[in-house]
Amino acid sequence: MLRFLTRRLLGTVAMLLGLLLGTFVLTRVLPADPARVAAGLRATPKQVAAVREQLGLDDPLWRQFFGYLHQMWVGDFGRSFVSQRPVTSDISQMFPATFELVAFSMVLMLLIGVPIGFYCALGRRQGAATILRGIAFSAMGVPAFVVALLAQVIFFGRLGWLPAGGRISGAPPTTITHLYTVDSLLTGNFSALGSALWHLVLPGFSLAIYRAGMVARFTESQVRKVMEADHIRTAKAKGLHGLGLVTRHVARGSAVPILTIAGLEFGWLLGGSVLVESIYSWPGMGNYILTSVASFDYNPVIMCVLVLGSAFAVINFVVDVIQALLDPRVVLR
Amino acid sequence: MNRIRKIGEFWLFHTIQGALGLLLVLLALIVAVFGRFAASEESSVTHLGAILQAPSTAHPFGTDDVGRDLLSRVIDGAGYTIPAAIAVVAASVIIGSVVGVVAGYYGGWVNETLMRITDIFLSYPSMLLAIAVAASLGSGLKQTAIALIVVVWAAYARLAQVQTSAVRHRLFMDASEMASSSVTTRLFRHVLPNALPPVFVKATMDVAMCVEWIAALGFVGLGARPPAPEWGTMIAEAREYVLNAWWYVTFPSLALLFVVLGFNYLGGALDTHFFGTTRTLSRKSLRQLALVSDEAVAVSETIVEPVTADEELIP
Repeated sequence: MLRFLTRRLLGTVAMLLGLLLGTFVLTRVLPADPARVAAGLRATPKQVAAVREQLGLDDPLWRQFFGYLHQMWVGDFGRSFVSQRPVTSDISQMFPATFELVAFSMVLMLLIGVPIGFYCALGRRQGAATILRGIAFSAMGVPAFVVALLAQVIFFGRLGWLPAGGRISGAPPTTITHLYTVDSLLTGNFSALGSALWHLVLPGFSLAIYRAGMVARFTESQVRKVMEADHIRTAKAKGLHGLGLVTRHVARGSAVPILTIAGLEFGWLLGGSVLVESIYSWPGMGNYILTSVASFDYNPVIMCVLVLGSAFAVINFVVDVIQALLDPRVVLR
Repeated sequence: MNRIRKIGEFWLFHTIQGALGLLLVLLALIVAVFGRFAASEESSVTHLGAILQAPSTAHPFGTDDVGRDLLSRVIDGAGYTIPAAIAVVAASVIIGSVVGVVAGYYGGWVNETLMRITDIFLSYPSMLLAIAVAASLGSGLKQTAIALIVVVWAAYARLAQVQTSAVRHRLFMDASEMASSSVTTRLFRHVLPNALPPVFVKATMDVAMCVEWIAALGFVGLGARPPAPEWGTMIAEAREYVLNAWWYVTFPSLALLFVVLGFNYLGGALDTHFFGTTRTLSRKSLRQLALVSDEAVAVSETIVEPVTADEELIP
């Protein structure tokens, strides 16, 4: 187990280093001159040269890279040239928004995908199951941003049932965790809770549907596999059937892989959330990345890429460890 | 009768999914290849007197905000996006296969080095990677294509590596080596053909993914630039007009939707065709599943399993 942990930890560290190297390379091949962007539009050539000197852009590349690593190490991620604030303070506001959206859609994804998967595997009416399977497979291929856009047109534009975007209408709840739903629940501010949930519905669903099809397919294959297992045959032979069999044996046997897959879906949802956030003007990291990219504001881009990449790496690591704890064979692989 | 069934199976017509997929893909390809002859003159002509007209016999899909015929624009978009997506996938297959086959064939430190590099690419949220690379390369279809290749190739490397290391120690490889065949012969005659079906399935589905991503990058302004007839770019332009011109955003979206669904359906049908429906996914593959997509891993496993069974027979 210790060897497994060390190996995985080293892998995660290597991945993070790769990420750092990658982001470094990205800033050096940017089409815009970083010094020019940093100095501002009206800077004279002399000012640009001074900024270049200050940023160390004339140093040899290896030196720049180590300088960059050092900066990261002491937690200096630079400023956003657009908002004129340290990137870290921008991100500390954006990340909870993205996290709330992704977590919400992950719950939705499971609530939609898992029952469909169970029904397809065990349902009596296989005709209905075939249709559901087709829908699930189609959902896997439907572009999230098209769903988001059409949902916005229909539910906000045509019907006016749901808000067009944003996180909340009215004042946000007292800040504790920066997650509006949790904060409003903790402070007992139920009108804010309602509004926050109301704003989550459209973006959450648009993101969730995108991956719920995948979860349904996976759940079905897992449940089918568990149904063939010896202990299920024994349980059946002992007279257990129907709901009892499913809840006590099948669900338990297939829960671990399904939860694992859900953890790993986090990465897909993070990626997909970039577009969905931009459509619903969600004040999260995806939106931040896109606006920063558009204005060649590279410090926020690097920071976002690092934060999201690290979040993904950490989740991968945790999922691996949980899997190893639950199934010792993983360690031996 | 048997023969008819066989032909039906070959053309994937024995499932609705396969038939629909094949139909949509063929339609998309025909439009992509021949559409320009019918449409390209109209698509770039602006008629300021015919702005945002609703669908009619003259303009079946209506017109856009500068009076261009939307049907022609959508058709042109097919000729723009689909070849690009196919090129991206083809390049990724070639790069990934070379890396994966070399890693799987030589094993040892070559394998470790190449696969760890591949892992770094795989272990990153792919949409984010595409956005970051596209952002640093600047906008344009060529840049988008390069960004997508950076994202897509790694999965093929993993797939090819799994396939290659699976057949590496099989009897026929030893026999081939005894017959003093060259490394290239062994790789191209024996390893590659064994790796093809799963790659084929994944490639078909990846075309769908690339079509989607080209549109997605165009939509956020990192891909093709207006006035290029790219669907995502068109959808972005149409956003302002959703309330008073529903057709403007609807038809490019539908075109995108049908092409993506078509390639996905075809990929799914090919998957069933090659590997049957009874495949289940083992827990071992969970990690890869999320990283590589379930098709690829499930497929690679079905290939691997019989091999290990085979090997047990050899003392």
